[in-house]
Amino acid sequence: MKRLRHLFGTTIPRSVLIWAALILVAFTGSPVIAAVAGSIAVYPQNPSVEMASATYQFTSYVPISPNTIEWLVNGIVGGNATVGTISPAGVYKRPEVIPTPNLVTVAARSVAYPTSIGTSTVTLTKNVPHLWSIYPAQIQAGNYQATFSGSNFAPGSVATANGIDIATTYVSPTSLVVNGAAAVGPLIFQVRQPAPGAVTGDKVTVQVTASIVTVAITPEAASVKLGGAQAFAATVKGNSNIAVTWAVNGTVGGTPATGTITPAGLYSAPLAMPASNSVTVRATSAANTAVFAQASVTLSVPPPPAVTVKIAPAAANVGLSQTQTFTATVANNLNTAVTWLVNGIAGGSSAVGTISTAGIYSAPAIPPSGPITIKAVSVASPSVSAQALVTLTSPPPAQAWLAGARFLEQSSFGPTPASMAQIKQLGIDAYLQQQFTFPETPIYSPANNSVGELQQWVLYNYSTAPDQLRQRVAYSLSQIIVTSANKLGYANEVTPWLRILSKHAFGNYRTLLREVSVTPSMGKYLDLANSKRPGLAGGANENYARELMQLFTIGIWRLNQDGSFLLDNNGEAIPAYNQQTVAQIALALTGWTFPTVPGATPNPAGNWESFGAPMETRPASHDPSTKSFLGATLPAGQSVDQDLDSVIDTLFNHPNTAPFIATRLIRSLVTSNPSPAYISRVAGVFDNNGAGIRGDLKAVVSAILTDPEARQDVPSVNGGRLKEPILQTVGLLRALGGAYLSTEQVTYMFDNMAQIPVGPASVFSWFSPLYHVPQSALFGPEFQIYTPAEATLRGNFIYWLLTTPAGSATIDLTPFQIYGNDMPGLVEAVNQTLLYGRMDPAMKQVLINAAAPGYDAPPASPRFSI
Amino acid sequence: MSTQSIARRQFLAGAGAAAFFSRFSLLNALAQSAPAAQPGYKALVCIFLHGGNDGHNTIVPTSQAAFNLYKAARGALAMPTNDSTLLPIINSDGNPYGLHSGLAAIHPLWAQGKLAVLANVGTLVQPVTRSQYLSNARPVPTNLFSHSDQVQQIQSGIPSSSGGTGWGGRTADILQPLNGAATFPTTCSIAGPALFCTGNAIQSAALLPGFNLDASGMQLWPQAAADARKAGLQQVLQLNSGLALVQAANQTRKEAMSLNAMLTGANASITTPFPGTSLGMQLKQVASIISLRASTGMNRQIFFCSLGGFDTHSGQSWQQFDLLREVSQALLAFYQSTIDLGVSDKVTSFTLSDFGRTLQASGSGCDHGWGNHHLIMGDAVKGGSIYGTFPNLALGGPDDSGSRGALIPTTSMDQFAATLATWLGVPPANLPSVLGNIGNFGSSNLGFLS
Repeated sequence: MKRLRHLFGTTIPRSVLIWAALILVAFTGSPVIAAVAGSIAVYPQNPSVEMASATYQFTSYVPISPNTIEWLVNGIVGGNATVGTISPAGVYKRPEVIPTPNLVTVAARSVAYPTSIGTSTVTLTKNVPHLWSIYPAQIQAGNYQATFSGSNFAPGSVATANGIDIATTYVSPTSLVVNGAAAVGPLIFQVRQPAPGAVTGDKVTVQVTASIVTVAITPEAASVKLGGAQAFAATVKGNSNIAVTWAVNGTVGGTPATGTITPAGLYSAPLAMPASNSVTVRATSAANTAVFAQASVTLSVPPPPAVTVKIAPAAANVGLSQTQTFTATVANNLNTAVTWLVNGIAGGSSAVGTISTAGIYSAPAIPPSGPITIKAVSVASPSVSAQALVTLTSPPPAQAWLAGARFLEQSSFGPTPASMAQIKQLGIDAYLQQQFTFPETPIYSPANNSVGELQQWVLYNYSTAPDQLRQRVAYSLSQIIVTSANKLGYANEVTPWLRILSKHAFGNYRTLLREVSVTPSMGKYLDLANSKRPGLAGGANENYARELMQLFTIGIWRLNQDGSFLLDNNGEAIPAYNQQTVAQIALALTGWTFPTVPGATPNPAGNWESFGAPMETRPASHDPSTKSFLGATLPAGQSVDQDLDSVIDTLFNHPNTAPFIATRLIRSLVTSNPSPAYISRVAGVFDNNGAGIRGDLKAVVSAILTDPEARQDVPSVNGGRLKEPILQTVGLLRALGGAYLSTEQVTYMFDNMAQIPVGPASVFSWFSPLYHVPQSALFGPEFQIYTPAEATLRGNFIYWLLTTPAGSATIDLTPFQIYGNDMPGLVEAVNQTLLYGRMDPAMKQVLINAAAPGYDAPPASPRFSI
Repeated sequence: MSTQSIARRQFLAGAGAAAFFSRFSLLNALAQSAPAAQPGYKALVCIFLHGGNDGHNTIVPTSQAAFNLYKAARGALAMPTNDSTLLPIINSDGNPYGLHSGLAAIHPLWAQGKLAVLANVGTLVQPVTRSQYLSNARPVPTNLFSHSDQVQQIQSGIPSSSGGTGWGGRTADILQPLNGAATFPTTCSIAGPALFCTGNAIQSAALLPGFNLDASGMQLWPQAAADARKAGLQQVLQLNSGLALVQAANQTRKEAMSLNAMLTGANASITTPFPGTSLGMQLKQVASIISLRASTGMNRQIFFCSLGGFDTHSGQSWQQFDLLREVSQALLAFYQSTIDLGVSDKVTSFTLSDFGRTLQASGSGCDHGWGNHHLIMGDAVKGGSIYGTFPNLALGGPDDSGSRGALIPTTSMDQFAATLATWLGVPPANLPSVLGNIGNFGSSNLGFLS
């Protein structure tokens, strides 16, 4: 029916058309003869004409004769484009644009009687929207969306539901999408075209049914380990109430036996397996409790937990030789036992430290080169372990007592760890007094009479003798009153001299001079033995006379008490003596010969060399004449002994002797460049020890060592003295807790360094006390044997001592090795040990940097070789 | 100079106590006139023959009369013939002599005029005749015939076994200004510390053959460690402690590092082949140092080498041959190296020894004597001549100090040393401070150097 209407394209009912046709036939078949017998009527009356209709046929009933009419639209004959045109035959053609209002009047007017007019009002409409079908065919109550299929839809088309406009979206001339809300019951949809030319299409009725609630659950299946959890989500559709109730096996919230579930859907599996390993999780709609969704949960037993080991503490600082307890906790196994390892070694080792079965770690005394790791390995599961890192900490180096250390440098062959402790305990004065009381270490007599063996012993003795001050003073005296093994070829030729120096180191200088003058050592070395009065073969030998003055007592130049030159009126230095003096003293000293070997017959002319006793006199060889020298006159006829005593007395009492000997001893013990005042103070003590005694070496040594200039611990610019090879290397060994062995094989190295023990090249000893620092006004006696080559040899020798001393020396590097990789600690230990804390910070940093590239091969591995 | 000073100097010199004088010279170092500027390079090389080389068999007169005397005096020690086992040379006076066959290597240098002999030189206080000696009428050196004393006296130039300095060192004291600011040691012993090299101001620098002042450990440590430590040492040496003696010692070590670098290169640069003997290696070291003269800036140097074993109380014939062969081969190589270095006229080598030996044999050797013959080599040497006075070789003859042929020197050690020192540049006025007794002898220049 709808489709049929659509095909006709007209809104005129068929009954009207048929009726109209009958009228046309009836009235055109017979002429109209009445003039004005009735009104003109226009048919059809008041039609609607849609845009699809291009023309529309009007007819007129004219009950007037003549019945000629003319057609008008809105009063305009034939109409126009705005309101449409009409032909004389009554064919109306609508305008292209619907006018406003959309009503036009079509009129038929009698030509003869223009007042007679019939009209029909035409409603111009848009094309009628036809609604053919709706999808979905059924709509649930509530909000809906539907798609209209039809024709003549246009942008602006409005759908109505039960006469109420609903949201409409134009898709195409044949499709609209609508949205609305509906209640249960019939819902009549129409589509309306808006004004102008509004027109509403036909109705389609849809029955609205009640809505359906659905619930969905995800996941729909899950496998959960006992004790585990699984989150579920429920989606509710068909209702605005999307709440659900969660249940496990039908019990809301679940049970401990089957697992619990939270209102948010988080399922927690039970700890023990329920009767069935499958449980059901259900989400039930709150809106419709008949609606639910279910998920199937398969419960499984989880694998047993892995064994774990934990160690505590995980890192520890442990002092050297200290202990640290570690605890290992084994989880997930009944066997909680562990095996302890240190750096991979079960139980550890002495090098890296040991660890007990109870986890008590004992650190080594010396750090190994690398890190230390403690490991606890599970006995139950050996692949499982835990590690802890151990950092070994060294004690900070003990602070050296600078004042004490300096005193020991001057009064011994250098501080040792023991002597440093001792002087700190006693104090300087008490230590000094104690040294004066120490028994004298006997001079060794090599069984084979070898000088080499004596030299070995000398170095050993300097290193180890308890009476260090006596050894040091005797060593200094040996450089003033000199003999040498380079002429005294056997040990027994040297030892008488050494014994006298040692014996009188704290004695009186006159006694020392007297005894040394008649020792066969000196007798041979400087030719006093068998020196005879003129007229006998050889004549008086002047050697000893000269050196006795030049080197042992008064020196070449007259001195003031402060060591400076006494000047004459011309400002020139004054010789202390002349050749005549030498000759006179040489005469006075004639008449000595080597001692008679026990059991032998004395040779009246003089004995051959022997060294077992002081020299003997040979009055027949003695010059009996008067001698005169240095203001003294020895009467003729004095005995050999008397003349010697006169010579010794004269020289001993000479005003030069005090400043001369004071200067030399100060240079040897304390400083190369003493102030004149210092020399003067010491010389004064030489003159008078306070008890009216002259030449008391104990008092002189005390005065030298306790003088404020010696005890000045803040270095002065020109202070100090360069250590010579013996003092430096013996001192180094002592500082390192070691010593030269009496079997040392390094005497030759001292030859290379120009200080072979007891074997100086000449009576001027190894170096002259008058030697100056090169290119300097300063005295620096020891610099005479510190050339570039000798300096390098000395450094190399020290390197050798530190690395491979075995057989010749001992050292204990443990106090340094404990610092391991702790370079600042190591350098500070060196500083305190060798420099008593005086190391320049810049030098410390240099040494730290220099040592940084790594260790030498331990243990003979000093990292300091300079 | 005041009269008093002159008197003092006369006293000091006349006393034969050069040690006194050397102290004096030290104290008055500034007052001493520096030698006038002398261009170029010169060096003395002393080769000390420890033990007392038997000079009487080193050079032998071969004219028939002299040879007969020689043969009579030496007995079993005499070289067998006067023409078969001696290397013939002709003295500039026309007389024939023979060199010991051990000296074959340098024998050609005689004819080339590069080699001379100084005859019968030894320690003396002043000239002394046989009769004066026998009557104790003149002072003579102490402890003649004693090794230790005579080694010391020869090296110190002081005939009394006293003195802490050597005439080489004192020569260097005088010549030091010629080296300007150069810091290389002026005297170098390649044979351990030697009194010869020690001056009053001059240190005795002892080098060891082949020792380039390498610091131990540098070759043993990993390179990175060695480099870090070397750098560390250099940095420590740069620190200024403000303490004069510490700074001075650091300066010495700095010079050592600088020398180390120089010597390392120099030794490798010596291409002249040297015999691998003790003396050969010592002289190669000397050549190395000489080759550095441009980089060290040194103009005057004195070297000391030594060889031991000459104390031939027995078995002399073969021992002396071996020793002299080592000496001559090393000397020839060294002479060649001075040619290669372009300094053959600037380097003069000479031998010293403890003393001569007795003409008279004792068994297969002979005993300690006094006067001795010495060799002098170099292009500056007016070679081919025997200088001094060749002694009379008769036992108990005019030159004998006794009856065994311990000959009284006819030329003093002082004159020998003074000639060498003068050539090296010591002005005549300064000679007494080097050789205190030089004034006791007629001439201070024996003329063997040009």
